[in-house]
Amino acid sequence: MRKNFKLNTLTILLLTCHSLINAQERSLERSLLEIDVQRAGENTDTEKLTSECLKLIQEFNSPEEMGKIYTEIAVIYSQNGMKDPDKTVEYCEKALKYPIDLETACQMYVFWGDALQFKYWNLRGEEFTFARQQILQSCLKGLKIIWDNKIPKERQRLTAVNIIDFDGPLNDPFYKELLEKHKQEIEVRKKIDLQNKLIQHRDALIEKCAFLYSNTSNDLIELRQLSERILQNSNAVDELIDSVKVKIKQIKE
Amino acid sequence: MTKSKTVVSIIVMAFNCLMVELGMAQEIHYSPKDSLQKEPSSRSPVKKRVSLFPRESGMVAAEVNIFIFKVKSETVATTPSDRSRTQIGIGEEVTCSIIPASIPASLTANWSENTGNGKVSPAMGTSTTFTASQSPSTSRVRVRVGGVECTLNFTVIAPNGILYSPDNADSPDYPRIPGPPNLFIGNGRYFPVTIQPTTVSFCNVEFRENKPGNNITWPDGTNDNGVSAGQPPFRVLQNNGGVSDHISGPLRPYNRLYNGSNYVTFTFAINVPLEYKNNLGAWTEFMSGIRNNHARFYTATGACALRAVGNNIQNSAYRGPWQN
Repeated sequence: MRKNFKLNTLTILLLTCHSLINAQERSLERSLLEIDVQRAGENTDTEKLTSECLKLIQEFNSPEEMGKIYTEIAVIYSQNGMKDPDKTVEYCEKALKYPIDLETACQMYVFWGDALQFKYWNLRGEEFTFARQQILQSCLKGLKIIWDNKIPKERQRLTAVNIIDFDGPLNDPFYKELLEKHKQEIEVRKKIDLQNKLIQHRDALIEKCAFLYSNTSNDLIELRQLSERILQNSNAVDELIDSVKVKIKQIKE
Repeated sequence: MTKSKTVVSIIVMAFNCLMVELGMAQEIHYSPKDSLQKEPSSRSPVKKRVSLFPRESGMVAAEVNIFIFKVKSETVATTPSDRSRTQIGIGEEVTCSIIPASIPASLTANWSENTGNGKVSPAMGTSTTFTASQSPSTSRVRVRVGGVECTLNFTVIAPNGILYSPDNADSPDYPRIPGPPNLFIGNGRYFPVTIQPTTVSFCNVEFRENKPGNNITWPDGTNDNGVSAGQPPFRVLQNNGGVSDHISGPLRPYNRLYNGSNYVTFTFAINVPLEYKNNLGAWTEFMSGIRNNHARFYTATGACALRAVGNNIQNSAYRGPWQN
């Protein structure tokens, strides 16, 4: 009996800790959203919002939480009309050092590439060639994540998540069956939403690569060499080069 | 002609033309010529090169490259069919592009959204995807090409209703074997729904029913408390439909309708407030449980019909009673 009591106490303690962790997780999400809604593009008070984000580190400092906080700061800087590309690069880089989800990681590489592109757009000659390699590296690292996850070529059609109104007891076997089906629908939809987001990032990164070569007579040797080194997948390299060629053609038209 | 080292981009003009915005960027190249020449315009309607050289010696001549562009927007959702619309749903995505995409190497295009808490990605390039806020707002997407700025304005709206279509399928546990003997009552049907308005797409919105649960006392005195309580999430397709509301109940004994002396008619409704998740991650009601509810109608003989009430009303046929 005493043993059972101890076990029950332990279970309650564990459950309490679990809910506290969840509450804290929600609280960070909420705090970041409260900061995020203050973004106003070029009119954003980036210093104030950055400082508010950084303050959260005192309370939320697990690797996952740090990743979320730096991601938000990177978003703030990336959305302010590229007034401070160095800060965008800094915080994208910081966010990527922490465990962030797949989609966010790709987004960080897109913004990183944006910032470098803005920073170096007026360089010419050898300086531009050097800068282009830096921009390409951020693009290719993002593309590697996408290729490694084998997403479809085209955006996927969305699937629905249906609604349930069952007026019987919650332990009814049929209701449980409905809930299981509903759970599967949610999972399928989440997967499609993620794939479509990654496709959007992939297209943005490829377009960035194409833009870098659209105004030169460069034959993409440099792009091939870099992508062989970063993507480490010959099929992916061929596919990328082909996509970039198509994009360049589209841009020139 | 030798092109100079200095390239200056200046704003010539930017004006609105209905939903398409036009901008014109100039590159000025200074050139040490001392006679007036005029080069013919490029064949392209969007690129012009004009070289002006002063008559008097000692003056600096200028070659002016004019890059004229327009900005267009197209919703990612292919339904509704008007993809150039500027009224969009919360969370909706719009591709914004510069035309032509072949902007000169000396110019760059960067994007931002300045008023509505939306996002643009990428922030650099000849096109971007603008994702609207998850809350109603007015969004101003700006692109800056050289020194020229163009904006696209979007009105971002929230859902405001639900339309039910006639029930079109059976719940997997219905129909049962019809009576007599008349032992059980109940019904279950699927009602397709469409979130309103359909002039925009809410395919990127998280919805849920936030059912508080209703207390029911059957004619035989049985109490069912917190009936159908729960917050099942749901997601719609680009046309705000493609989703069905599964309205059903378990088989219940026919005796539930017996009030001690007779079998009687009986009705109850489940309140179904509808909510969407806003940009703060908070659930926001857009249809109260009074405006949106699901009723069950039982006849004294044990038949059951379902009713979905939203912006309209749809009734199923009466079915039952059942043997099992």
